[in-house]
Amino acid sequence: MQTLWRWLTDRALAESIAGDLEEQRRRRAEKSRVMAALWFWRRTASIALYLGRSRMQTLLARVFHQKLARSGGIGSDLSYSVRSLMRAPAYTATVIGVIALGMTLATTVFAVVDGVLFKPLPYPDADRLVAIESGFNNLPAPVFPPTTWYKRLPGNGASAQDIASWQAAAPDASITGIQARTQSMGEGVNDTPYGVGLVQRNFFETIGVEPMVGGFAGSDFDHETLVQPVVITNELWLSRFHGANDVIGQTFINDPTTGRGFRVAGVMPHGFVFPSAGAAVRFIAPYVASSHDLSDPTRRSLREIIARLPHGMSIAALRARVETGMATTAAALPTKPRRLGLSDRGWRMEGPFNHADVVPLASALGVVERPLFRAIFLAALVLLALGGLNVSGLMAARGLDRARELGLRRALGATGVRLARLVFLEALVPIVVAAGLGLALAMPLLHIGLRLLPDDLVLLKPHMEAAIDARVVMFVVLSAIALAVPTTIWPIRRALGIGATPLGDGSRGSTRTRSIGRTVVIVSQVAGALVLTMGGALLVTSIMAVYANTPAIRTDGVVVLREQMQGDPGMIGAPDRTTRANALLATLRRVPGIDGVALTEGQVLDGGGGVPWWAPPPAAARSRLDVVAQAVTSDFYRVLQPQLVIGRFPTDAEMESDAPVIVVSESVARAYWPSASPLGQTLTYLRVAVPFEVVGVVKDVRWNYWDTEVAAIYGPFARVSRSGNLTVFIRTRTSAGQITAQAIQAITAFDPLIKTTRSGTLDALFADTVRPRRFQSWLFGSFAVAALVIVGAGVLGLMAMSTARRTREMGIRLALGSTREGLVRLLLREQLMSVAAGVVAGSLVSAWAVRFVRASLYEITPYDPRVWALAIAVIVITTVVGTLIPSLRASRTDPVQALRAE
Amino acid sequence: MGREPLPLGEFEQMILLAVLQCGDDAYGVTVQEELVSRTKRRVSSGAIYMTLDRLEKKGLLVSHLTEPVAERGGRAKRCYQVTKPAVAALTHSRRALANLWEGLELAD
Repeated sequence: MQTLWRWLTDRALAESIAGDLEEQRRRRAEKSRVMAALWFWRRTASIALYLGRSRMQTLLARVFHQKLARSGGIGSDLSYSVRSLMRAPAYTATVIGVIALGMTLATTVFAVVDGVLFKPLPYPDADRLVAIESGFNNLPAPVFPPTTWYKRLPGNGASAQDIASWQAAAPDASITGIQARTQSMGEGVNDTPYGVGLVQRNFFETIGVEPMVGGFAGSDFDHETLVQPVVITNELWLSRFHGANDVIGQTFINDPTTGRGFRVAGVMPHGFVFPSAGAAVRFIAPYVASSHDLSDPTRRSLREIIARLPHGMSIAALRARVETGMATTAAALPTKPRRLGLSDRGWRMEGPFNHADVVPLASALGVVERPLFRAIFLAALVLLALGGLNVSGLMAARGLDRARELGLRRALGATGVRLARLVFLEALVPIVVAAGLGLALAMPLLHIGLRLLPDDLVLLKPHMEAAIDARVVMFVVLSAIALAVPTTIWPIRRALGIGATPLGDGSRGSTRTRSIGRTVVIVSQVAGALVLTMGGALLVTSIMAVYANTPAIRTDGVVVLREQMQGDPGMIGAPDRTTRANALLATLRRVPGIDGVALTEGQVLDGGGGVPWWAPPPAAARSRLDVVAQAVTSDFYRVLQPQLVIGRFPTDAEMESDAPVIVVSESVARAYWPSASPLGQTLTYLRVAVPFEVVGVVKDVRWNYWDTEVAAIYGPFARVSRSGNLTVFIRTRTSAGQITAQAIQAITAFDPLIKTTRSGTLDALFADTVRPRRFQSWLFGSFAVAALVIVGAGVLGLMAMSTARRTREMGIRLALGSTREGLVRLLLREQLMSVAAGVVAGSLVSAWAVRFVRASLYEITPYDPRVWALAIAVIVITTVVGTLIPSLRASRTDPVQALRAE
Repeated sequence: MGREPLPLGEFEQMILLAVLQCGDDAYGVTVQEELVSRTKRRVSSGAIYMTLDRLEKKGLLVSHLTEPVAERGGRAKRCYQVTKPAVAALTHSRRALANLWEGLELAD
């Protein structure tokens, strides 16, 4: 507060004011602390506004008005406009506030989405770069979970052999494959995963950008090394390595037990963005085909393929050449037996490609993010337009108030152009101020937004550059101009129309026009606000549903550790793995504070889909259900307590003896045995001879994401585990942090080859999976709130101006016997007709627009009646409040004073 | 003939008179309370502080700081006193108003 007073006045007066306010606040606090606080802030605001205005007027008078007023022409009009605005502080503050709100959000959104939506790709001759998406003709439709957040990239990737044959068919083009993924760079447990891009040796040549220093040697692509050479992005060099000159050759060991690490081999130039839609890549490493890749040409580990078209070759021509290469590969592919349980789609996808899509790289990159960003940017523009409409209405209403003054100017010789210039400048000044305010406020909002953004969102520009740069400033300038012109058309037309009766009030014969104009403004605002409010309400309701629904297992007091057992043989049911796992569990049970511990080898919060390890029964052989295969140990059901639907859990004896019994989830029971009891039925597991009997059915659990129930089958660890990637669940009543540290210590002491890669409470790990959803809800919720503020302010402002002009009419009605309540009802009724029309229009637009958020909703439909009713109610309440306040003021008009007023 | 007294605006006169009424304890809070109770009208706090400051700069008020007190958050109080030129200006204004009112009688 001291700073505020010192900014507004000199130090001595500042001290005096601060002391007086504090003295009075304490005195009032003896009666009521709440009232004292309210009084304090009200009085502070009042004094600050007064002092601020005074200071501004003095400054403007000294620097501005004296010079400009003497300059004549535009300068004098500008000076007059500023003085005129200062005399109407409520109107000016409303206009500036409304536009600044819209401008702040739009600018922030633009700064984030610029890279994906507008900025040209940062590569030489970028229009010659294309993405090749490999595919199959007439493929059966996939079955994906209804709400999935997988980054499903178009195309099916390619093997190194595929790319070689396509290159051979199109020797003039340059074709390269990449694999982008997020992985730990080994700073410890829970270290931030980075985007890593594996590239073939012709990557830099194809893209047209070389490292600014260093690079890969040819031999780096021939074989894998324990210490992997990497070329890092410029942004990472500056942020993690502080721009050190000696970064080349520096080695970092991730895993001391194995000696794995990376060596910095080069740094990319400033502004380089890795061309992947899969991850925001910071480390570039050489792609080395593994022995599995070389032996099985259908292992397509290069997920994205980029090509540079030579001059003279069209996209269609390249596509034809690539399909020729596919045919060559198909002829050379060895046939292999169809695996049991593989769906038709899965079987086709293991075969040769026969279809290629070639698209400009600019449209392929950001393909996952683009729909979301488009929706966000559109919402921001709607908000800005809403603000402009609001302001246009206010300006037009203000113009009517000044009709007499403008008529007088006309009579004294002012031309139409001069009047129009005056009105335009008076509109432009607050817009420019608001634009500056919006730009200033966008900076802190951008920091908040970037922190809320999910890490794996591809922005197509370095995070450091998602800032207020020249392009963002240009956006603000253009938006201000784009806003100023249409916003002022209506008021200027009104001003020019005043010439017919120069000294009249300009309102004769225009009451109907005014009324239609006001109605149009209100209807449009209400409709626009309803669309934004609807989107926000749906997304917020959706995330509330996510958090409200329990995940069908007990999550409180459960700590999760992800463990990697080095040296695992990778065989199904390997006895050595079971021995090590049981010894690990025994070690952990000895840690004080641990009430129960169990583990599984299966998908847990990794976001992946199920591999068809379990074969469906013959009657359901065509089932395309994605099933998560869990391999669980003895205490699993006691520790996690999945909700049993029918049957039973395996007994202790069955768990100890690894009996072939399984528990299935509800989705599996419904899909495999729709008309029979699943209990007693049997299923077979890949490469395991003995059939497994179903003894119980549990509810589906959200094993992959917080918002997606998945089908699962729980089998005995000793028989169905496949690898050394384990998830340990620890139930404890003590502090999670303490237990985690003790458990990790115990594990490392027990076996240094078991590495902990992730830890956390089960609740926290689940919640982290809905970060994208949380971000969307925050964003659209903010838009909805902003829209409500704009509509509320707009309706209030228009009503206030309208009732002020109708003072005489109010006075006459009251004098003729109307009651105050009747007057309020009359004004409300007039306004609510417009609001109702706006709600109808907005509902029609919303009915179309909500389909864009359908994929993001959880357990509600875009047309959920409760959400629609809530959104409409909020809009109606906002507009009623905006109408009620000036109506109540108007009803308190003194009839005598009103009748005396002209 | 002495120097002509400084002309005073209406609000400036009211502030000076309120300072005189408050006596030794004339500071922002008491001046505002005095104005509100005697004129029965709402007065902007910001206007009071600006006018006190302006009058001090014109030499019509002098101020001094008291000891810091806990009730003011450890801040000193700035108390004002009217100067001789202010008394002369007030007297001059009163005489001028009285001359203008002479012979007039207006009904409420």
